[in-house]
Amino acid sequence: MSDKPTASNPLMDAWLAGQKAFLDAQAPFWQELSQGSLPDTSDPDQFSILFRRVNEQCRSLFDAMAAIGGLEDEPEENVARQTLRRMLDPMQFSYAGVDEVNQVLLNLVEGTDVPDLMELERQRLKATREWAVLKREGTEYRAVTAMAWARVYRRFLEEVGEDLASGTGSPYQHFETWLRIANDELIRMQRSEEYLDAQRRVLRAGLNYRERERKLIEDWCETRSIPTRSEIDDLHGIVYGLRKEVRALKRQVAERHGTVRKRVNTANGT
Amino acid sequence: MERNKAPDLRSVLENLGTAADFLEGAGRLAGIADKDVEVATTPKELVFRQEKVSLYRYRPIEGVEVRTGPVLIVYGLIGRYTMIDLQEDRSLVRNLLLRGVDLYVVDWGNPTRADQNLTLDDYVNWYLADCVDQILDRAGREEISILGICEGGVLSTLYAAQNGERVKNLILTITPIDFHGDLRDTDGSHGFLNVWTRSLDDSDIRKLVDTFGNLPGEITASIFQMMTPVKTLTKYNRDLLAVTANEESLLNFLRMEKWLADRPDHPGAGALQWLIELYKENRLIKGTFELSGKPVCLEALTMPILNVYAEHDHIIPSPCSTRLKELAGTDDYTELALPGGHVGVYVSRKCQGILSSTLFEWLIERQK
Repeated sequence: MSDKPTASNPLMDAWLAGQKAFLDAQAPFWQELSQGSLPDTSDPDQFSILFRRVNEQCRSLFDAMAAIGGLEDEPEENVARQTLRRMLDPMQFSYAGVDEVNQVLLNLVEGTDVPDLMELERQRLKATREWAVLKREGTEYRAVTAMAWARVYRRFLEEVGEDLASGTGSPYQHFETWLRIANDELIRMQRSEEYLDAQRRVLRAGLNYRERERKLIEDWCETRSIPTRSEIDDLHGIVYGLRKEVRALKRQVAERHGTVRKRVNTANGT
Repeated sequence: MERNKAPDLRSVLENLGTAADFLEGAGRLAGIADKDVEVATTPKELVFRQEKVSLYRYRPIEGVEVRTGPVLIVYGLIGRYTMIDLQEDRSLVRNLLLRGVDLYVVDWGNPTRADQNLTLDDYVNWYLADCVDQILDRAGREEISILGICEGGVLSTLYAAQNGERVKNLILTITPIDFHGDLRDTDGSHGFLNVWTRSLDDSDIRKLVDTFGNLPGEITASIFQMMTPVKTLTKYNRDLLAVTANEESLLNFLRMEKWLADRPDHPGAGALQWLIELYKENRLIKGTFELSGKPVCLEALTMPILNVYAEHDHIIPSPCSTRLKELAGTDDYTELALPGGHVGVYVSRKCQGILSSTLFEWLIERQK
């Protein structure tokens, strides 16, 4: 590897070639977005196909880059491998900064996908109305964020389109412009009623699904005489109340004996 | 590809970091062990522990005379106090110890579902009150100075308003008092947390907390990430590439990542008060927020107050903090506006220098 890596070298060329392939692969996707001709969001499959296509391209690029960097045999938890994967994850560019709650919520409500004792029940759960609603709300939420990205691209092309065509302006400047526009549009979107409403509906759908799941699991536990989450929560509540009472009594005794500082203003715990 | 006709992409990559930079940085990343990115390493000793709550005293630096009374640092239940001591050269704790401040910190621990019933009342009038009593007994004093940070500033304010006789000085940093203050902030990128919370029905918030028992740390972390969409977008590519070339910068980046990833769950009952009664209903400034059955009155804050806020705080917009000036009952009120954003107050070297020196001088002027 040369000291100045921007000088010609095979690694650099491979990276450039990879980047070009990456951008080319995404071109139809962004073109569709920039023209505002989004797929029909009432058909989640159609929307998902687009994202899946971009994902597949990026996985290929990740494999190629991992091979170049000698990371292909490293375990998945290798920091460099993980970082490379994140850097080439198209979701970072599609949803980053706006979809975190959606993703986190889905992870929290869905739990792991590994087969377990509850597998059959989990399958049953995914056939419920709550699951269908969660999927639909998630898709509509993404459609709102995708429209914001479409506006980003439209504005970007309006601002720098001529420069790009004529080759004026540095790519770095264009990149900074793109980031500035993206930031403006995403922040504007986050404050729109349309976005807040979509996110609220995702949240509700996720929580309803989780509630349904809990009911199913508790039914399963009860038939097998296993304590349920609700019963344990009840116990936590009882213990909490008792702790407060004990504490208040101990404090009263200690204050009477002058072994602790007297508290004059607080009603709690004294 | 013709090498003598470099495409524009090449200069893009020169600015973003090159493939070789990346691979070199990736190699550097792979060689970093957990011990290289330890945080909160300033020596301290355990003074008191009650369930998951621990009170520590920072060990005074050898050769430095202790020049102040005890100061208790109170962080919030969202995030961890370790931010004040990320690394030796960016540590508010060390900066204050070097000046001779007698420093304590309360660590709320990692609440679990077993702690879901804990309210803000419990944290203020139970745990925090016990910590204060412990320090006063140990130091043989009747009053303490409290330094509250963010939600910890609110806990400190609540405590001081109801236990004024024990609080010598109240120092608040990046603390929300008027939870609708964002509506007066002209920067459209500030205050998304306020907007997001107000957009939810009370029933949504109750269901969220009821479902998980607590407010999951993952949820709060994700909302914080959403607040800076492009920063989140460029963090693991452009920003990371920019720091991988320099080992010290990379370690700083990773320490910050470590702190960001350490986000405990917020106890459920307290989260309901925080989100509904404070964020949504803004009860603190209305005088209708109750603690232990008694309304909290900000006019009861008659002790000297130093209120520190960030001029470009997107999480706690500055009008949320500065409203205290109108509402507190003290005649000795000082404000310090720091450049930069929320976390910058504690991790930027420049802000830390200003903060620690101002804080120390302000304290010394109020020592008897």
